[in-house]
Amino acid sequence: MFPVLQSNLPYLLQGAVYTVALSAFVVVFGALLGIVVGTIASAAPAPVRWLINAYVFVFRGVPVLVIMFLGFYSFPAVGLRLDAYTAVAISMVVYIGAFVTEAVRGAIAAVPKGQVEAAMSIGMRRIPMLREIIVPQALRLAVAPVLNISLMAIKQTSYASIVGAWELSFAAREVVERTLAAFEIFLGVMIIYFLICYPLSKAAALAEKRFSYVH
Amino acid sequence: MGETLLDDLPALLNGLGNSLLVSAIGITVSVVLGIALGAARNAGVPVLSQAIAVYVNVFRCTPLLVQIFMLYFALPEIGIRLSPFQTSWIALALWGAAYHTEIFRAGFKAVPPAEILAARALGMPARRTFLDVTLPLGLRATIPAATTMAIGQFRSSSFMVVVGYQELTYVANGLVSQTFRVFEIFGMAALMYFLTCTLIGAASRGFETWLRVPGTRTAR
Repeated sequence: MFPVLQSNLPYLLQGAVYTVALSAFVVVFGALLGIVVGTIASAAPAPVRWLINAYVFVFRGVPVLVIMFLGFYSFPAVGLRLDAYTAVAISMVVYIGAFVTEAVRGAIAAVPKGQVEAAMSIGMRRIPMLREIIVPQALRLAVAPVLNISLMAIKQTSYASIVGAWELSFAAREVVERTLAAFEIFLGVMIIYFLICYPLSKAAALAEKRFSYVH
Repeated sequence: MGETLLDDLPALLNGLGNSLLVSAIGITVSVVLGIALGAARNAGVPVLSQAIAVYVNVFRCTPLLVQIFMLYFALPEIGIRLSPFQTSWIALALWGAAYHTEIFRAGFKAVPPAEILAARALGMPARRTFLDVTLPLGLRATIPAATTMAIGQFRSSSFMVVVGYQELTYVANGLVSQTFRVFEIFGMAALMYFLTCTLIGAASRGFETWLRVPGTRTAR
């Protein structure tokens, strides 16, 4: 059964390794960026907040592919010679960061007002209150949304192949061009993506149940 | 491919028109499909419910890009040939419907059980209860989530560049390779996507306020 898929499986799995590596990079740095910016957004003075709002608003309204193309073409334009991976990775970190920022800001806003009032009434200042009371609780609330964003990021790394970064989707197209066995290969690739994403989607659903209540 | 951005504007607007056309068809089909499948899931129809769950999981856990490849490059092997336009809207519809199904299911589930019990107590049959109570209340509750997804579908119409459908990203990419004015053209394309998404979002919020029933909440 599926002889072409069998003989090309090692090549595709190598592509899957690149997909996972690129996803991991984007998710880790995108989440870090989002957590930092999202926290700043909840505490910073108005002009900084406006700037962050604009960042979130703009990136959430533009397709990731357009951001990738912009990154891919614009780094050389400012004198930076980057390979397709680095360009895609940086573009995606900024893109995913906007989504995580929004999730973190939403989670911080969802921490009950009573907690903030209690902290203020025992004389905590703004920064310790943020560090000790709000952020630890908000991060719990943000787990499920951030997992869902990670899932989105993994699937979006497939568009890196359009810009020219070699990963699973790119490898699949190469194999199909060589063997013409489109159905077999793309079905195999769908299964590989499914095996990567399905456990994570289950984890996200679990996190939603486990972490989404507030005291 | 003129000298200034102004000369490229008609081509870009034409691309935006194509993006909107394919998104409109894809979104409409996926919302209708999503409501039907979400209702079946909510009602817990045996076998059908499980089959829908499999469909939802498969389409949500694989990239849209691979689904597009499947439709465009793999289906001809079994004798189904789709044009780039057909591939684009069918891909958006099938992919989006998986998400819309879950959104509408959550919306139907969020209708207060007391409302449904009250309708049943008044002697309304199950079908009437669904059509007159669950559907109107559930759909209102899903407007924000369904809009977010619809905006996502519109943004994802950019991926139809891989099958050569002449939508906005395809046009912009073509212009850039001819003129090398990257920032202007992709910046303009990004602005067009952004403005359209903002408009859809604003229209949806207006629609939601206009339809609001006092005392009801939105889902999630």
